[in-house]
Amino acid sequence: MTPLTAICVAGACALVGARVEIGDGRVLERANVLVRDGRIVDVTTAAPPAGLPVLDVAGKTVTPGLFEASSNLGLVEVGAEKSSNDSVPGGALFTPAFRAADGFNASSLHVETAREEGVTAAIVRPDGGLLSGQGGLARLTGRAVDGPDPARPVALFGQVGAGAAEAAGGARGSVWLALRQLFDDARWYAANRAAVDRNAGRPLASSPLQLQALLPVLEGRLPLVLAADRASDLRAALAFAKEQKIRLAIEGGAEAWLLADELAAAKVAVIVAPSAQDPSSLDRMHARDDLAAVLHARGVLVVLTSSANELNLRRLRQEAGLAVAWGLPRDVALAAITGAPAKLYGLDGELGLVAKGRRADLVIWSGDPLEHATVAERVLIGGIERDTHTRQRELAEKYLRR
Amino acid sequence: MRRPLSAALLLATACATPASPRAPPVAPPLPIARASSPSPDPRPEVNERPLLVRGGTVMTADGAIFRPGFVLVVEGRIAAVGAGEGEAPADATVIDARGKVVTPGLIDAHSHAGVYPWPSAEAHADGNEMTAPTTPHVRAEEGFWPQDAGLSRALSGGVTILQVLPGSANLVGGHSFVAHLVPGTSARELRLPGAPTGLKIACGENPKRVYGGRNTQPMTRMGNAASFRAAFQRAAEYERLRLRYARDLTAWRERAALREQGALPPPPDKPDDPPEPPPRDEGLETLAGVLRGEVLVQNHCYRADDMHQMLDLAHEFGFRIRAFHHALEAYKLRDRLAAEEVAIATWVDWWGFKMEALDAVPQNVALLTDANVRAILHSDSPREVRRLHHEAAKARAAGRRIGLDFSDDQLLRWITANPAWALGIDDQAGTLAPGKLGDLVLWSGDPFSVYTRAEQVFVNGVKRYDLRAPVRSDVELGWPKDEVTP
Repeated sequence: MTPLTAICVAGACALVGARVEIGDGRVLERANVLVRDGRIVDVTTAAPPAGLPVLDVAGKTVTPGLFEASSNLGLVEVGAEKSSNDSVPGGALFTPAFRAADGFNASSLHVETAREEGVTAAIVRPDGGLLSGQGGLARLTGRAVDGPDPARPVALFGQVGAGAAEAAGGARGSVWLALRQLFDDARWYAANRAAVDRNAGRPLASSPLQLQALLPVLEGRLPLVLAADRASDLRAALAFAKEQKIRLAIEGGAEAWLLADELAAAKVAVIVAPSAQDPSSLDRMHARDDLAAVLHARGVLVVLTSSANELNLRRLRQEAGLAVAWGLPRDVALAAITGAPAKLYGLDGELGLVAKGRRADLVIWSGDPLEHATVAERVLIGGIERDTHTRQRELAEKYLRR
Repeated sequence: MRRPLSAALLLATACATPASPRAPPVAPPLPIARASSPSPDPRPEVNERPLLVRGGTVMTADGAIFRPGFVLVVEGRIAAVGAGEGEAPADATVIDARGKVVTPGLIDAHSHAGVYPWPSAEAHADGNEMTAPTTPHVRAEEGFWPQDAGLSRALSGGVTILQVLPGSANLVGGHSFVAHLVPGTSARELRLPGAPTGLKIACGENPKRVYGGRNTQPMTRMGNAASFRAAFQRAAEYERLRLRYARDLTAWRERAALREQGALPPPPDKPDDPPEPPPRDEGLETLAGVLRGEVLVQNHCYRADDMHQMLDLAHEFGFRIRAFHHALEAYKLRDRLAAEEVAIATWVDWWGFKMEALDAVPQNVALLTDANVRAILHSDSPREVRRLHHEAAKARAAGRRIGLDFSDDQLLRWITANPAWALGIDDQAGTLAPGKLGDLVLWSGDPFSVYTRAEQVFVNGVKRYDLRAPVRSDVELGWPKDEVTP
């Protein structure tokens, strides 16, 4: 394809005449999106003001840049090569002070590969143990400055269920015992810092630095995202969140439909990978393909992810399409990869919507963004068109010419 | 999701071309070890009443797309395909396909179904005999659990035939077998009659990692190649002994016949005993079958240089590689692959999970097809197998980005006719043509739309999947659903 001439080069332009999917389920036909200083200043059907470079996108679809809710982006380059895999803290069950941001590589090839398919934002999270550490927001410009801010984590990530039980000593009860001990110690530490500083404390389940990092979770300022599939694990997680008075979200949730009402009542969102709803393990015997649709119908906030695949964020829109095939309303599916993840992490004032005041992270699509045949023709981040060429395309073109 | 360990080895081995028998009519070769017991193939269940699917778009994967068209299946085989409504035999079951699309059953050239089944369990890891790097004597069929919950999921994606392979931990992993997705309580019931035996071999990182980790050969790609060469050398010698025996046996029979006619005097001193047969070794028998061209080589191999090396090795020993699997760098040697008629089974967008997967491009299939290589989209995954049609659509979209575009018929070939060839079953599957298996998929719409699902899937003319009431494996029956109703 001939490269398009970039119009939005300075963070200010008017996208004119597109079908605009807002990112919250609403759609505007033949609307104009006005961008200044890297932000959306208006979404209107009125004529754009003079002075803004005009990008005619009639017949195209404009959406918010797609938002991956859970990934190892920038932490893993070649998964099997230890030297380029920084996703697992290792060495301890609890590393709440571990910051994914510290290992983030903005120049990862996975960034451009995701961006080519319209992904402009991703939550970067660690893996492993029970509480792996803090995840943050990366915007996919390829610049370090747009990587996760270590001072502004968006959630603490962890896992329960069979894998975690094995890590904790073998039994699921060990997981919750260890978590309760840790949370109890964190509360005690918060109330007795001076004693700890005087070395007059009590034995603690983790270091003061780690316990300190748990306090935003205990205070309800930072959500805890727990990966789990089996209904019993999800119930235990709900009970734990209630008892500890913390904000919880679930990732995976293969059997979450069995407790959809409780999840909805507790306002617990579920991050679902539609392509992975299968009885692939004994934790998932009640998986069903229409999980996202069932949860949505029962009032649970559903967020979709590509994370069923080993670091392949470009599949995010395919996952959304699959959820639609299995009954999730089309506009809800689009929201589940734009506005909904932003909302889950408290970022919807900044990202995930084509709405006034939000950052101009936008994608111009040749058609329905969820269809395979559709191309992300232009990808804007901060109101600037970004390169959608990739190393992979360069390789393909090199051998095409030979 | 972690990818199942699937592997490929480099193959190597060597030696001289198998001795060419001068001796005229050679005794029939010893039977090659086949992935089946000596008992006859089971007779598959076929549709009792003729099945006529009509009114929808019929994509044959054979060059023709009929809008509308019809397919008639009689006693498990396609009897007629064409444009229009077709003639319904008196007692036919007629399926109204208006608004829908009919295709052949899809074929997954690379599966570990049954040998790494769902639900995954330590007790069910039966796909890698990781006790020696060369295990040509083991058979995927004998590790296959027919209650794998993944089998019904594969059907739900319109797939009716799988090649079940051992994993890629070993250089030579063992026999693959072609599974036809009919219900059964043994692998034998699923084995497709008439399908040739395949041999899984693996290049590159997996074997050297597994055995190098134990400080045994192979620890390097050098060791991979040397081990392959040694294995095929042994096989060539084994084959030479077998041929010599066959020759000696023929000569002995001729002498015996002549003596019977009195045309040859009896032996003067000692009796003229028949020759002793050489010892039989199932593994070497399998590799000798490769040298004879009876066993199809299915070679897990990612990197271009590894594939070149394997092709060189195959020339050295005089055998053919039927297909490279995964083959993420196949686009770099597409002309050689076309010239040597090697099929390529690969993914669209899996990449980067290990060094030998770093140079993957989503245009691999487009570039290969453009060079007249038989390209195949495979799964290597119980999840991906459900969406081969989506992968084909993605491969087309990727090709368009570099100016290569393909027809719906071509997309279908990537997941039907081409894998049929790689498995050696193109005479009986892979297209909608009279005489072929009555495997059909009825799609809710354009199979290359993300929103489309398989609604009904027929195997040998018998409905085996229905979206409204999918049949599940024994392992899924009867699990209590907690106290909640959906």
